[in-house]
Amino acid sequence: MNKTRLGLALAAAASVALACGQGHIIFNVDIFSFMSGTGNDTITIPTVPATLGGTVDNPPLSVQLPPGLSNSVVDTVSLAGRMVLTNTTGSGTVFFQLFFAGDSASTYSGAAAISSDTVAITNAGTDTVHLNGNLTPVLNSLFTQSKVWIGIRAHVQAGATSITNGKLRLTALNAHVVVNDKFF
Amino acid sequence: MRFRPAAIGLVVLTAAAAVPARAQFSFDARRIGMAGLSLQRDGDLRRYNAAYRATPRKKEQSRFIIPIPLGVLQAIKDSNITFDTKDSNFNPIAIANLVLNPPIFYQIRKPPTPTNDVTVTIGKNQLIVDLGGAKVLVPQDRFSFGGSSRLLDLGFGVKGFRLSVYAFLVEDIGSDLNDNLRAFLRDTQPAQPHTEYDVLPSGIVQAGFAPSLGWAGKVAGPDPEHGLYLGATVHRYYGVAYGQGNGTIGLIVHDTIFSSDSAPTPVGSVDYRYTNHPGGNFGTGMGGDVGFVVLQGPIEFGLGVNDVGATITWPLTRIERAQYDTATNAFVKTVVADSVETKTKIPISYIGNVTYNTGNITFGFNLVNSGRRTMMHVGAETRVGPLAVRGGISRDQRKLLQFGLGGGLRFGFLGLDVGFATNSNNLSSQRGIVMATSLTIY
Repeated sequence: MNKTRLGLALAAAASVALACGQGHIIFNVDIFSFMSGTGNDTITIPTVPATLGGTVDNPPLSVQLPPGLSNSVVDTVSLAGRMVLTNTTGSGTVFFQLFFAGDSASTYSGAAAISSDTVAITNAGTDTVHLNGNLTPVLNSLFTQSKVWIGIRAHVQAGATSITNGKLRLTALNAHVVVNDKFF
Repeated sequence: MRFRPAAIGLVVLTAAAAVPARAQFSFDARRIGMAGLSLQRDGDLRRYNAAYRATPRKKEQSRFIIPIPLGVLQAIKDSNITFDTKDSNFNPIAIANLVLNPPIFYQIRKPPTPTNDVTVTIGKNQLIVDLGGAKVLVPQDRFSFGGSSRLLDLGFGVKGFRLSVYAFLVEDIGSDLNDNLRAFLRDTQPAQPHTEYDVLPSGIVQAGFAPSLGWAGKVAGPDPEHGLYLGATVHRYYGVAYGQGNGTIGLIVHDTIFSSDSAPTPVGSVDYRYTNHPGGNFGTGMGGDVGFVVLQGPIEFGLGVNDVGATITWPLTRIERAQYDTATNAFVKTVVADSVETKTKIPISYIGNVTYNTGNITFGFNLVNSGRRTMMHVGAETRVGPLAVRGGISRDQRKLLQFGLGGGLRFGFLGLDVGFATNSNNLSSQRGIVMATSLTIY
């Protein structure tokens, strides 16, 4: 993902959006389009022995945000995402969580911001995991800063059969950010 | 408070919209009630037609106007405008509209303020901005402000001759958008690869002073209200400061809109020239005003033209170019030429007017061009005893029709007038309605 370019894009858009006067600025950001093909969109899951479980984190990823939002109030942040799990063998369940933080080091230190549905794993098959929901308001202030860090954590619980060659690949991630526009 | 580029853009838009506001501004409720038309031999007629200096004073001609600023009371009572950027009611467009419509007149209908949401859709190869109702703020053609102004006019006269000096300010500052950028902002079109999005700034400012010698008088006719009046004034212009520039500033989008290997790259080149030492070496030039007025009983018409042949020669100007350099990722300034002579023109301004009086009704029409665009006013006034009723239509500098209606009472030397008029002195070009009140001393 090209963080700088996304930031520039948002900055340019924010400048134009001042024209709305007293209203909201709504950013619909296709985060996945920036991650796709970079390697950050896929979490490789090591073999999970039968009946055991574990978590795998991808490296935190920073996203530049529009400058000048420090006086703004983020009204809501809603996310919609989708990941696809493939494996050679295995059964069990899988879900993923998103983490947000103001710096890289603490990305995974707090509670998860939002969790996906839990999905049963199909042996040697493909399983789609969906995520939808709003962030808790306490995290909204992160989106008034110049940069936010995003982490994806995969939770895998094996059933009676070990999970091998698991890959959890992001196929969609969209953010819908509603900002009260105080750009001065 | 911090200011950002968007705020600067808003200021430019505000200034652009302020042009028609300034051009039609008057405290006189009689003029407001006729959509800006003046039926008397004052105001714009004396400013633009040198012959009106010699015409006899009409009995309806005011000595001076005392505005009654009911708008101030309204502003104090009703305004919810806040300058606190942290207040949830803070709205820069409402503030801009306040600047464009200073609270002198009572606002019957305030100009609408866009308060819609704006949606920005962003992806690696996608950028769409939907301004919603605020699209009306994006100009459809070059937006600019300026005109040819005479700021002071001090002098004295003897037997029709007048020796005077005035300060002049001629400016035309504006900007345009190329078709791609306009479609992106106005029509919500997605940003396209391999496309250039440009702002096209341009402008000229010249200022100085002009000693003048003029004459105005009646050259034919049996009595003061029947005859031909002529006027002419010669100006010697001394230019004190001058600057002019134009160019292109924008972005080129390459294969992918937001990609590290094909990121949008700035483009731009602006040429500008200015006086090397403002006030040190005057620009010089000659020009003149001419005008005539015909008074023929109930009919009166005239034409005045200003700054005919006004060309100023600036002996020492520097020409520079600021061009975006991809190597240094910055605009680099180069001197194209130094201490070169430059000639500029002061735009011709004019007024043409006709009035016709029949019984108690006076009809009037005029065309005014203050050096940029032409405004047209048509109106009428009828008087029955102390009562006057007025109405008018105008086409403003934005080519929008405006309407006026008013009335007044006159008791001897004192008159009380009220006028209602529409205007588009706001960022959205939609009409507001004001009520002006004034006392007239005859």
